[in-house]
Amino acid sequence: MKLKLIEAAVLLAILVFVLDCGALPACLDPTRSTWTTCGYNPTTDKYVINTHDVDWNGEDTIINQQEVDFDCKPSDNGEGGPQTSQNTADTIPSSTGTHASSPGARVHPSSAPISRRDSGGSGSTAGGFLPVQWLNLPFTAIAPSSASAPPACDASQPDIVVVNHAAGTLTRMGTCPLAVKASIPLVSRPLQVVVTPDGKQAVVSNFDNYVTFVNLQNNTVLQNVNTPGMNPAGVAVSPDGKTAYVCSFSATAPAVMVFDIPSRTMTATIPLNTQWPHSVSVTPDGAQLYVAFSDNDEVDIIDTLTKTDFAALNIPAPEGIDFSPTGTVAYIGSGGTNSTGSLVALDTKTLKTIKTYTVGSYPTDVRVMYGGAQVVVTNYLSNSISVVNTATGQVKTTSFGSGSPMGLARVR
Amino acid sequence: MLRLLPGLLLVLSATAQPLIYYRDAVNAASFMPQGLPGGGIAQGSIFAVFGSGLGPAQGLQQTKFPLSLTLGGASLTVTQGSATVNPIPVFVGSGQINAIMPSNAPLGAASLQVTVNGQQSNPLPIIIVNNAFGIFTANGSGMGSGVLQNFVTPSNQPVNAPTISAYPGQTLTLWGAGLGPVSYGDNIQPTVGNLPTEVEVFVGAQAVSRITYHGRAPCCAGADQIDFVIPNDAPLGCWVPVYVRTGGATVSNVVSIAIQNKGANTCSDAGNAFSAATVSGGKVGGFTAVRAITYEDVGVTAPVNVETEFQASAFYSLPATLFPFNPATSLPPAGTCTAYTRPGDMLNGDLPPGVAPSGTALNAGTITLTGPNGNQASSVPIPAGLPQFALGYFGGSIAGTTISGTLDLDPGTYKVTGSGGSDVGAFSTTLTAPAPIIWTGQNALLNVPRSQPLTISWSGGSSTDRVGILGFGEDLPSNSSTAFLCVAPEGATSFTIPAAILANVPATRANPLQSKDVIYLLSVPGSATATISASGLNAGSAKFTYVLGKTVIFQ
Repeated sequence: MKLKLIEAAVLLAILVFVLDCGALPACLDPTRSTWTTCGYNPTTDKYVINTHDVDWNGEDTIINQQEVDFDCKPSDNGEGGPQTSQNTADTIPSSTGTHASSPGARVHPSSAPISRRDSGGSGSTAGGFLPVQWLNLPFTAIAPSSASAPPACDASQPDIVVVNHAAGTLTRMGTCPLAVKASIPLVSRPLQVVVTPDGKQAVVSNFDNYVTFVNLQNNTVLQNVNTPGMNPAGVAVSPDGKTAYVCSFSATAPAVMVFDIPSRTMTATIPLNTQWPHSVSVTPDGAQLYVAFSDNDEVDIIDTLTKTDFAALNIPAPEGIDFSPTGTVAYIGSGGTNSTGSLVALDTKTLKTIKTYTVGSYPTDVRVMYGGAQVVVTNYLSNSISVVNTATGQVKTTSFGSGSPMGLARVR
Repeated sequence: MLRLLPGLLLVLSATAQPLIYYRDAVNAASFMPQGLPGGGIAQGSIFAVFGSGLGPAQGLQQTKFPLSLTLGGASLTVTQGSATVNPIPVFVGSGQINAIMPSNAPLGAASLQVTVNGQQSNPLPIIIVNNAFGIFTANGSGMGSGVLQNFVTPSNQPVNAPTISAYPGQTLTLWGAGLGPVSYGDNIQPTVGNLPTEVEVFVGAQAVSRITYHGRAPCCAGADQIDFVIPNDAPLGCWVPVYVRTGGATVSNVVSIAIQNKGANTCSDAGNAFSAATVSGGKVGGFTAVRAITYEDVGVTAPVNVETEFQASAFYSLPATLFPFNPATSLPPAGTCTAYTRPGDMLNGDLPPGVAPSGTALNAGTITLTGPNGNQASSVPIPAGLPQFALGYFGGSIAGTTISGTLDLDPGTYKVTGSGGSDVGAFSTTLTAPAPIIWTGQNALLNVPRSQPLTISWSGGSSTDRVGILGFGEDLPSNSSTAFLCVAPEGATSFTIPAAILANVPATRANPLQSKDVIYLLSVPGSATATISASGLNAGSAKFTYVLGKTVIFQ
């Protein structure tokens, strides 16, 4: 039979549908990512900000380290605040306003193309983004099997902000070079910080009953909103940047406070049935909140439209939570102070566990990257970072001595 | 009479606490995700809710008018502020409820809840619109053969299928849901009459001029019928695209019908060698060598060309079914486009239904491509079991990165050989890698307004080039994807994608990495056609394929 016309399209359709990034293990966005964490150096008794290089094979290497004169991981219960599991640091705008680095380069014509966290991961990063070298599309070239040297740091890398729990400040740091740029006074005992998608503001929880809105364009406090008796802890911002959600770390009145960011006012309180909610995450579409109760082995799910807490899932000592780019999988750090921790992959449709990955002890921060192909986890007690390949199930855990990493922020 | 319409999928086990699955309330005919422009739930239409514990394990449906607000212990509420309405359940099972959205439901964002025997489900956000039409499909997936009846006589109206083709000039009855609200109760037997919503029907690439009815189906509350006449110059084929635009803006899912000249029952596609095997069953095999260059300039630090070369082979035994459909082989006729709308990330594993064929894998041994100078470019064994694709990577490069490999597929003559396996005999054939075509203005194409037709032009190659356009628009945060495929007539040097085909592509996000938006131009020069003749195969071909890709911003 003589073949005519359309077989090309037939085979190409086959190719496109087959040569997706689930079929080819190396078909990741191979842009090497750069992250920062807070750590501790017991030899010098100093806290440090580490810069990590994570390549597409999941190899994690500390490529730079800078001592800082403050405790950048506010996890000490002895100070009266809750242990915090995520968002102690976040990435903030680059000042260039564009990521096009060569003539003719085009990025999306956003009025404020801002870098923060991993733009290829959770939808919680709507708005700003970190551009990549190339995209996770079919017909990609395959990355070499051996990793090359980490790229040199780039002066255009965005800054990060880190809460300084003891001093009651928010520290702004440049990431290339690692250096403190500003110290912004807050109220007292700040716990978590999240930067809005447009990069213009940071929202900070202060355990001593304030939520602070910070203008990141001039490093000044816009407003301290008093929340009497609420003990703000976890913070999240909706993908559209209009709403902030803040947990009330409370035994008597646990809740999620809802703030309108433009007016910086609290517009609602969502009561919770379980004590001590300490972190909150938003699905990529903004439709649901996941609230972690680390002390009560529970994750609740809230419908943001009706502000209804509709599900309580039994997850052992849940900590940081992040989502696949499509919001179909929630990745939850779990296990608390057990000798090993877990990363629970939860089907957000059926609310059933898809898979459990073994990571280090006390997995705190969780960040999805490479379009959901990898998940990065800080293991606070085992002083390590795990990189999970969600396609193969492989987990690479790299120990960093006694660093006790906390506070993941992606800067490239 | 009340009927259970196609598309009512039954899911299994029940649990005590009803749970509506996240983002799983959709038009009962199209199943279009709410993240797409046509994914709203229309007033007065049947919609489907998926979850667990939604009703009895044994599905129930209403059997008489007026319809009750409760069925099998299940009821529904839709709330928007202080306004509450109750959708009417017409089918209830443990994993699915089909219900009618009341015609007086509030427009815009609302919250849906199900109550089963006094237990309330989670709330689910939905979007209610005046109209958003979905066409029922025979396989219940929202794509493939539509549920359209060929009018022969009042008592003889078979459902169109590749073996039950319609003919130009014939009247068809199209079944769907979402034409808009009615002025009477949604719980009573519908009144015959056109609804006020503007309705356009497209067959192939052209709008139908004769629509004789567009209103509720007399039998079935919440379901609509559109009667129209197939244009006399409609394209012939097994999977001719059909879609509906309502209100001048909202476009349905794209389904297909078979059209042949009067007197023929089984369809045929002049240019699709896999068509007959897809329709009637058969054993097919294909090989292609691909050179692909994608110019990426959205969401990247700097524009970059991503170049790759692959070979791919596939050998199947396809079963004969009444409504055969595989997006990879059930192609639209030349000069037309089709579109696939579904949840998920199509470019990352969430394939449209039917792509991985249900047929049997054929063992064809090892496929080897030998280059013009006699060097062995690639040798790939066909793997055992589904999905029976053999993929070989030749090389690739990305400028400015460490990724740089040898690119072998320069123009010239190549030999493709199969060693033969237990199902397919040995074969040898030659193919030509031609000079590439040039996509005119490829790198300059960036912003694509979805409300306007998009013309893509090319030059070079030969006059017998066969060109297809394959585009993807994906909105990751809402887990929604649209793909469109257009086939240009042989010898064409440009093609205009209708605005209606682009209508359900989601807009690119402000953060472009939350979208995946790319258009590919696929070209196979006619001189590259080579036949694979081997024992055990009904049809086979080997081709060189040139792919040009471009990232875009859908506006």
